[in-house]
Amino acid sequence: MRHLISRLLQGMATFLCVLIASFHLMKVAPGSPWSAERALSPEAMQALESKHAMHLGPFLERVLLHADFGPSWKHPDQSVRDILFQALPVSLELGAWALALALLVGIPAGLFAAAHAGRWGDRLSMGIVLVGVVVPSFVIAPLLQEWIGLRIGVVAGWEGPWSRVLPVFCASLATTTWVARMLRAGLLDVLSEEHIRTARAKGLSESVILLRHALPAALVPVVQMLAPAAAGLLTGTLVIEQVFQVPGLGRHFVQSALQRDFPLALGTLCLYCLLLLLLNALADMATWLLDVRTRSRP
Amino acid sequence: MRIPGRVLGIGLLALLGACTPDPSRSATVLKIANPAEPASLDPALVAGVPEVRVVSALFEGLTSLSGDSVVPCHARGWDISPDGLIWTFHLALHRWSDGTQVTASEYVWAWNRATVPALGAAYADLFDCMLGAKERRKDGITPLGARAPDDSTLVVTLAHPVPFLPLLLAQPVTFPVPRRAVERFGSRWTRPEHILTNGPYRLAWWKPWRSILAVARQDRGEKAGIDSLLFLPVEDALTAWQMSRAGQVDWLFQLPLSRLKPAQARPGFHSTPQFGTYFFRINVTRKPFDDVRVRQALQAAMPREDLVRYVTSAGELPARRLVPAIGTYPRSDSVRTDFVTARRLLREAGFPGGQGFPRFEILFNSLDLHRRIAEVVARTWHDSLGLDVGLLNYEWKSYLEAMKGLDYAVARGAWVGDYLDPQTFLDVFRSTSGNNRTGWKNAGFDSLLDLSVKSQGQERLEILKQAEGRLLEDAALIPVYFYRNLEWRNPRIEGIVENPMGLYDWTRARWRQP
Repeated sequence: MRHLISRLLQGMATFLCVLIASFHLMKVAPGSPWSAERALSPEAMQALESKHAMHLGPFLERVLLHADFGPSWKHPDQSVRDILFQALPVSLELGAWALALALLVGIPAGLFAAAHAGRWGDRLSMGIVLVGVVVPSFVIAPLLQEWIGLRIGVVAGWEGPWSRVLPVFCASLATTTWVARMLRAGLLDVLSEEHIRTARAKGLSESVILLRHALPAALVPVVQMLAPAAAGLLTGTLVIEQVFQVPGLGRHFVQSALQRDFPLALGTLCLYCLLLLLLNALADMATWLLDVRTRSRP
Repeated sequence: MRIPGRVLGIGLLALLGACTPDPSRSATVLKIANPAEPASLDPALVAGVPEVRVVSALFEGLTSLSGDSVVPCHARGWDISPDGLIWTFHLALHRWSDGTQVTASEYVWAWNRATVPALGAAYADLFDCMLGAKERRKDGITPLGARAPDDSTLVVTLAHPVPFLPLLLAQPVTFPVPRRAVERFGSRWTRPEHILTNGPYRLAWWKPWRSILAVARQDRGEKAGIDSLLFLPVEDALTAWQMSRAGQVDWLFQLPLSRLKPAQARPGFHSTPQFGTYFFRINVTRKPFDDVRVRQALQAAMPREDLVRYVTSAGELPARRLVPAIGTYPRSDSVRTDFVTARRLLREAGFPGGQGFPRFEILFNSLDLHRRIAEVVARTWHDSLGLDVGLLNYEWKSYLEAMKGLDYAVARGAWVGDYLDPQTFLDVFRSTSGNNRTGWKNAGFDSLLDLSVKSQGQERLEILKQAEGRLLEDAALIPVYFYRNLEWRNPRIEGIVENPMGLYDWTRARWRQP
């Protein structure tokens, strides 16, 4: 309990620091939100700047007490809250499917590789999953559009179940690789430990040793890595969103900063920060449940 | 293993969400790949072509464009006073989508709103020809020279004669807006639940970053040829191209450079001249670019022919002047590519073979095409003039900031005409223009532009041509090439009238009967 409260306080402090630092960083970024190829008159520029002047105190009050970032500066017809609430479910859905797929493929691949360590099965399975990190998504995504998208008649968009297939597959690739590789490494470490030798001496079968005695401990680094990976997946991946025309958060995370759309940029950042803190806390709890050694720590 | 009921429920809900009907699958909907999500659907606030495409389906003004000519739209006709200063527009009976009449006073209100500085309308300066507009754009108080004696008469008083006023009145910033909706809902009046439109289509939905569906209004006498327009914001040109191949879109406004060849061979490919020019700006306040001979040398050593042949390679024409071909505007190509002259000019400026010339950079904003063009230009200036030229790639806002602060030597630039008249290009380089960004100020050029407004017809165009000649002679900019509209349209679409600004009258589009 004390651990949980301490994590909560740490998280709140981190969130506040991120918010204040981002606020000041956005202020020093060169360029005006309203500058464009076709310049506004100095009077219009001045009027807009004073209308949208941002001061830290009132800004923090609005954000912390009312979760209100105001309207977007680049898209004045919409509030930041509307934009984020429309994009978040899309990113959550894409991220959740991608994470599920990554675990569904990565864990069996890691188990298989560890069980066949040093043999052809190990090399083959690790070779295949390595594609996920070796080939960047901006290369694999257009290839999948050409090979699969044109056949199923959906290369991009986020309407209908078929539109989910390619972006989910692409988004899951890198995470699948990390899950498989970390699990394999973790399993190999655990399998060389004393208690596994004891289990073998007791005559337990290899599959029981692997699944019941080695897997929980080997999952610890995987679970710890999953927190930032899941946050990244859930808050969107820019390349995949752009190539597959997915209306998620990743676009806002990058474009709002490039457009100097401060309210949207800060709103996206806050959301990302909260998700990261939440997922890290969940990962901590999962680690605590999985690994008996962490429970004995003060 | 038992799957908990809640997990199963959430999974089913997600699946249901994924199975919502997909309008892009309907064969009667015209699916248009728009290269960006519109920043706003408020006619006063539109700033780019992607917004104009949607807004021109939802709203209309006093006039409209048909190809490269202007035709009456909401205005049945107009009378002009002998001195050309008072224009009286007679309005036809047009209705908002809720059935109420679009009145002349709504135009007056919309124009006064668009010219208030705090609204930040990018095109507010198009009103500058109207009496009081310049003052209103500064103080936000002076009323505009427009009044409505009755619901169907609009009287506009100009500060000086403007023969191309009907062209300006086809611009979205001059479209009426429903006053009661704007006053009631503020900046959210454009949301589908609040918006009233006076154009051929009404807004059925606006799902930001997903799609915008415009449905033909049934209450208008002249119904649009296509029932529904679905605008899809597709930023990536290659994705848009693939979507067209998969049948997900019927109209592309951008084609990926890497797919130009197959696109050109595909039925439905259209390449037409665009009213826009790609050029380089020179910062005339920085040494040694303050010497006109240096600027002229760079202008003469611009490899424009090679660039259009090997880099852009979509049939663009090399630009030897600033203003693209338009109407009867005289086309004299005063800028020539001539490396011998360029070397001589540089020698005369005190830099024989580029010796002693300080290193400088070509500034451009992040885009592959700009990089490739800048690389060729830098290499050519190095090889032909002996100059040490680097590249400087800035993201968009930093690029604009550097140009505004004249913190560059040579910078990539472009201008696409706001209306089909040479003045839209020449006004950019007025001494007082915020778009000038070169530091070049020429009283003779400004006075020629001032003089042009007092003339009419061909005489006016000749004066504008003289002004353009002066600008090019002083080489504050280096024209490179004229843009082209590169599009792919489903060959089943017919009735389209080409337009050099890439804007179309959606009501004319229709599906060819099989």
